[in-house]
Amino acid sequence: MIDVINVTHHYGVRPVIKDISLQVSPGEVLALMGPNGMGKTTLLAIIAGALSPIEGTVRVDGKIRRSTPEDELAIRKLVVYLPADAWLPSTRTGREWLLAVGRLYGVDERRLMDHVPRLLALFDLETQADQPIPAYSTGQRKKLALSGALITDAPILLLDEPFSGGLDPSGIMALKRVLQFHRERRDRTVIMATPVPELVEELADRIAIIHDGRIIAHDTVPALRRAAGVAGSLDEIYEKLVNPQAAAKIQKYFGEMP
Amino acid sequence: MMTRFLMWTPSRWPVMRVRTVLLCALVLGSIEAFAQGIDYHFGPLPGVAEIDRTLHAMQGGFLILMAVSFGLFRAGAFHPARNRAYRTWLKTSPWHAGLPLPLGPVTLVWQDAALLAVLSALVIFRTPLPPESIVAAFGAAYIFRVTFVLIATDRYTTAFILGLALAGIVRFFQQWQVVAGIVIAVYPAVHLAIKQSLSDFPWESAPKPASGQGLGWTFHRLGPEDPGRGMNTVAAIQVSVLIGAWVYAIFERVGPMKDDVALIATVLAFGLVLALVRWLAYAGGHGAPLSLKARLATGRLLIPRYDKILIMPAVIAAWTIAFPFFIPGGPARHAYPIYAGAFVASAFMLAFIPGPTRRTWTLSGFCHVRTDISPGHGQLSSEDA
Repeated sequence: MIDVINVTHHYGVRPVIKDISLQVSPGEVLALMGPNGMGKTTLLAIIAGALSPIEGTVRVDGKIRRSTPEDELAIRKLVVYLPADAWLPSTRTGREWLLAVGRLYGVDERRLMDHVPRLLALFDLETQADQPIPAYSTGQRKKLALSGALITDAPILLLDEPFSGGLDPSGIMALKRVLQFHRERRDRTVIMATPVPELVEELADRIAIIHDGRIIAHDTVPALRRAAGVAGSLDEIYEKLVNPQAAAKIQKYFGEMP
Repeated sequence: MMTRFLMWTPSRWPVMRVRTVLLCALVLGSIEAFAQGIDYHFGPLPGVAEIDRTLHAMQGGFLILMAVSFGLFRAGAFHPARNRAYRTWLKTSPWHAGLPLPLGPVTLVWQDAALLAVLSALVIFRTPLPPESIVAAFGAAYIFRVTFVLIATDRYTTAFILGLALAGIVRFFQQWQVVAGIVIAVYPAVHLAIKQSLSDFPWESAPKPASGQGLGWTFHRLGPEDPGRGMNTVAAIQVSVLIGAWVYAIFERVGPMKDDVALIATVLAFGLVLALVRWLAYAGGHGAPLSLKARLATGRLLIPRYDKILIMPAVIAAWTIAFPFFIPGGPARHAYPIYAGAFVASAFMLAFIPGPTRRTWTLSGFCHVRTDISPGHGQLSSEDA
C-alpha cells in the first residue's frame, strides 16, 4: 500500500505539487496523466524518495519515506524507480549491469541467471547484451533501463514515462505485455507517469489526472467516463477533463486558415 | 642448543636478506681489513683515520638497516593475516590458536633477542652508536608493520596505541634510549594483541553486500544498499587524537615554527579545508529542497531540517578562526607543535563526531537526492515537473 498524504512541493516560488493525497493498493496499476510540466515527475520522485516534499508524507507499507534509516532501507528493498531519462554506466555491458542490479536487490542467483537472458530476449537485446552500454542506441538503452527495473523483482515499480525515450513498437508491445501480466497476477504495484492516454487505457486499473499541481480526477476508466460525460476513448475523457477548450481551439485554428 | 639454534634459524630468518647482509658485511669487512693492513704495514698515514671514521659510520648505518629489515620481516612474515595463501592452507589444517604456527612464531622469541644481542655487540664493537640503537631500530620497524597486522585482524585499540607510539618514535627520532623505551613499553600490548588475534582465526568477515556504486541513476543513490554505520564515537576520538599526535610529532621534527604567521596560516588553511570537506560529505549528492534563489523569492531563508548540515562546518570554521587568538606569542613559541596537534585533533573531532551520521542523512535527510551526472540525464528540475 502506498499512501501519499497532503504532499506539497515547490522548487521556486511556483508550487509544482499542491496538497496531493493519493492511495495505491497492493497489486494496483495506477497511471499518472497530465500535461507537461504539471507535476507528474515531481510526484513520482517524491514517492520514490528522491525528493523530500516541502509538506506532507509518503507511506509505503505503513512506513514513512525518509523518516528513519531503518524504515527507508526497508522501503528501498520494495521499490524501484525508473526515471524517464535513466543514466546507465559506461563501463559495463548490458548483461553485467543487469546482473549487478539484480544482486543489489538481493535477487537469488539462480533466478537471475534465468531471468536476465529472458529479459534480454524479450527486448531484442541478445546481440548487444555483451557489448559495453555506450554502444547501445537510445531505444536500446531505454529497453535496458526497463529490464533493469524488472530484474529487481521489486514489488513496487515507479516508472516515469516508460513508453517514451525511443522505444520501438516491439519494445512498447513487450512492456505492455509485461505490465498486463503483472496486473493479472496482482503481484506488482505499478505507478507510471505518462502524458499519452491511449497506451494506458488497457493497462491501468485507475488513472490519476494531474493538472496544475492538483489531482483533478482519480478513478477507473469507466468512472472517469461517467464523470466526464463522455462515451468515447480515454483520449476524449482526458481532453474533456484537462483541456475542455481543446476542440474549440482546433476548430478555431482551422477556421482561421485562408 | 647450538644445533637446535642452527636448525631453527634458516626458517625463521629472512634468508635472502641474511645473504644480502652477509655480502655487504663481506665488502665492508674487506675494506676494513685493507685499511687495517695499510695501517699495520705503513704506520698511521694521513687520511686513514678519516676513512676509518667514515667506515665505522657506514657500519653503524648498515647494522641499523639490518635491524630495521629484520623488524619489518618479523612483524609480518609469519602472521597468517598477511599471507592469503598461508591463511587458506592453514584453514584446511587442524591448526588452532594455542598450537605453534607451522611457518614460525608471530610474537618475538628468544632467538630474536639473540640476534639483536649480536647486532648490539657489533654496534658496541665497531660503531659510534649506542647499543640501544639496535633495539630502537628493530622495535620501530616491528611496531610499524605489526600495526597493519593488527588492523587486518580488527585489533583497533592496540593499533591505536601503536599509532601513538609511532608518533612518539617520530618525535624522538634518533634519541635511541627514548625510542627503545617506547618500544619496550608497548611490546606487552603487542604481544597480547597478537595472541588474541590468533584466537579469532581465520578472521572471516561477513560477505559484503552488493553495492549500487557505478550502477547509475537511480540505483547508486536510491538502491537498497545500506551505506554502513561508519566510525563510532570512540573510533572517531581515537583517529582524531592519532592525527593530532602525528601532526605534533612532525611539527616537532621539522623544528618549531619561527613565526606566528606560518602557524596561523597552517591552522586557517587546514581548518577551512576540513570545514569544506565536512560540508561536502553531506551536501554532495544531497541538494537543498529550495535553492538560494527560491529561498530569497519565497522568504524561507532557513530550512532547519536541511540547514542543520551547515552547523558543523560553520562551527569548524569558527573554531579555526578563533583558535589563533589562543596561541601565545613570545617564549611560548617552543610549544607551537603542541598547539598545532591540539588544533588538528579538535577540528577532526568536530568533523567526525557530531551528527547527523552520514547514514542517517543519506537515508532520511530532508533533501533533494541528486543524480551527480551530466544535466539532462534524469536530473530533476522544475522543467521536468
